Amino acid sequence: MAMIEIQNVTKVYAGGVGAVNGVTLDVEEGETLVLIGTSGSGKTTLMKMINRLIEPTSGDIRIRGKNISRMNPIALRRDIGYVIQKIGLFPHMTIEDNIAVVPRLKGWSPERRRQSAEELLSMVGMEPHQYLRRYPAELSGGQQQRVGVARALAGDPPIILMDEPFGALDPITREQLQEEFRQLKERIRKTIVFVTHDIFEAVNLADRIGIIDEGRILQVDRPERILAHPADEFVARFLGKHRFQLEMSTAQVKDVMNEDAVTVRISGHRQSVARVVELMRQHRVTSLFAVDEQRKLIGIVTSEAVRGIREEIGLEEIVALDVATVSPETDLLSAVHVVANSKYTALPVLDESGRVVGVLTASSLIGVFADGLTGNGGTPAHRGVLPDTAVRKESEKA
Amino acid sequence: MIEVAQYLVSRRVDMLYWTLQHLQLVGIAMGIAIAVGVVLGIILTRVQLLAAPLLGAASVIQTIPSIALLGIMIPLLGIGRTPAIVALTLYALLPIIRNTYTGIQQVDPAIVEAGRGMGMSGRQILVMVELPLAVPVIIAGIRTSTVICVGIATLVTLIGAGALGTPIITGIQTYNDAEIWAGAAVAAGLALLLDFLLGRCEGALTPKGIKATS
Repeated sequence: MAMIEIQNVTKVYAGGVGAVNGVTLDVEEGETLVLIGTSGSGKTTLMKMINRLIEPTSGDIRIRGKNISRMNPIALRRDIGYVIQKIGLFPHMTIEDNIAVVPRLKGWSPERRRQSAEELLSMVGMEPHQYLRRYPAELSGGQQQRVGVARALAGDPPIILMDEPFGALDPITREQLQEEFRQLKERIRKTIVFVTHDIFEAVNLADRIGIIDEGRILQVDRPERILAHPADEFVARFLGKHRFQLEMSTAQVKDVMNEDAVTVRISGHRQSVARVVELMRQHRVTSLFAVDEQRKLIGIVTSEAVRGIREEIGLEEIVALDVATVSPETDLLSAVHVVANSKYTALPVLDESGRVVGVLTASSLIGVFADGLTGNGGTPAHRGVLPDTAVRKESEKA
Repeated sequence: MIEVAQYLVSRRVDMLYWTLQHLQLVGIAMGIAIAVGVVLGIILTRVQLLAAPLLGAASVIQTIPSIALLGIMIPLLGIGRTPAIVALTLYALLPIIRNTYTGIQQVDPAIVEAGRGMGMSGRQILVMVELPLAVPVIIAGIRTSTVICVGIATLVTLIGAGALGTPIITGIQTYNDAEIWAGAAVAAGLALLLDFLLGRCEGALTPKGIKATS
């Protein structure tokens, strides 16, 4: 059973702005569902019907199978964390009291409230003893919204609703909080409904994205699948010119790397330089990776380094150690930067224990760009606007 | 000046009596006005439809010349303390109702929404959020009312309620400037003193977190 079941929910407004039109949607336990749409699309209305700040005109919403219209709205809201764009901290309360509002409403003892406030504050990356007794006005915007997130987590609600929580922050702080929140949500595993109009934020944070327009859900899917297969022209237009960049940020090194990295073992009996030259010729590469007996990376040997070397020299003397590395999970956008700043055109791809699992070359990245630029596939509406890349390949493989 | 001082010294018992009478009238009227005004102000924020007519009615009362209002009281309540207190209360109401209403209205809707979204009941939002944040504005209204009340209370002697208007009116009737000045000076001093004390209250009652911002 899904954590939140939204069944044929409609909200009628006189002017029509923000109305919701027969939406059916499930939010699974532990997932982050990002509702994205333009202003007035109904995304916030839909979210606020989950904690009954707005009552639907018709349709049902169930949480863990229970119809919320039969629940006491006050009690319901105490079990649903709520973060709003304008932060909305209580200016007359200390940070501790702000975080402890729901615990206080739930009648927790002062000791328990304090303890949970301390834990939550450190969870959002703020030193409890430095901030508990401070007031919101003494904090920066970013710190205030960290407290806002901590406050929403207080009382350990299974569901958290977030209404453009990072929208009012400056771009640098916003990015920082997004990244912190991305890591935090992996740890806390709450069911999160997150509203935004920022497609980068959606792709970055969502397990699934729901695209909403004029009160209707147009498409719900994993970010990389929405990017690869926009359901219709509106979705494609919505992704717009950012689509290629978005795909680059969702595609990972493992989607484009060559798993057959050419390596040479450095320990045991000495490998001669002649053997290295032979390997390079055989595999048509200009560099290879020196590894130990567990395939852990030691360094890179390039054809320039072996050129004109007499055979007696040990391999370890010509291995360059200053090679940049990426992991299979590195997104392509970051990988491009690493390649661009690297001395070598081939980057070793290392797993978490440092073993070489593949090679990422500048030319394989260029191939990705080339695919994107030639526009293979996609709807006519965005053909030629940098459509599919490695993501498409990945999904076809799957 | 010397005559005023002489008057104050020679009539010190009377002056003290009138001052206490003045304080008592203002005190009772303000007590009622605060209780009624704050409650009405809160009700207006919950029943927005009432806000315009009620604030309008209170403004109309405010525009009635005070001497006329005291006169109107006589056929209804006779003379003496009761009509005086009623009249003073009516004058004191408007600033308190209006400031309570606006004080609560000007609380950032985002803050109220956050409270609602976290599961505060209407009463909890009022007590935990709206009233603490409206305190400075409400007390500003009480200060305005108090100063108005101290001034108008100098007229209630005309309907037989005594107070610091007594030497002023007598002074006017007997061409005794010193007597007028004595009553006026004490009444003005009283207004300043009460305003100062309420200012201290405002400082003490204003939540620390919102003082930090201003």
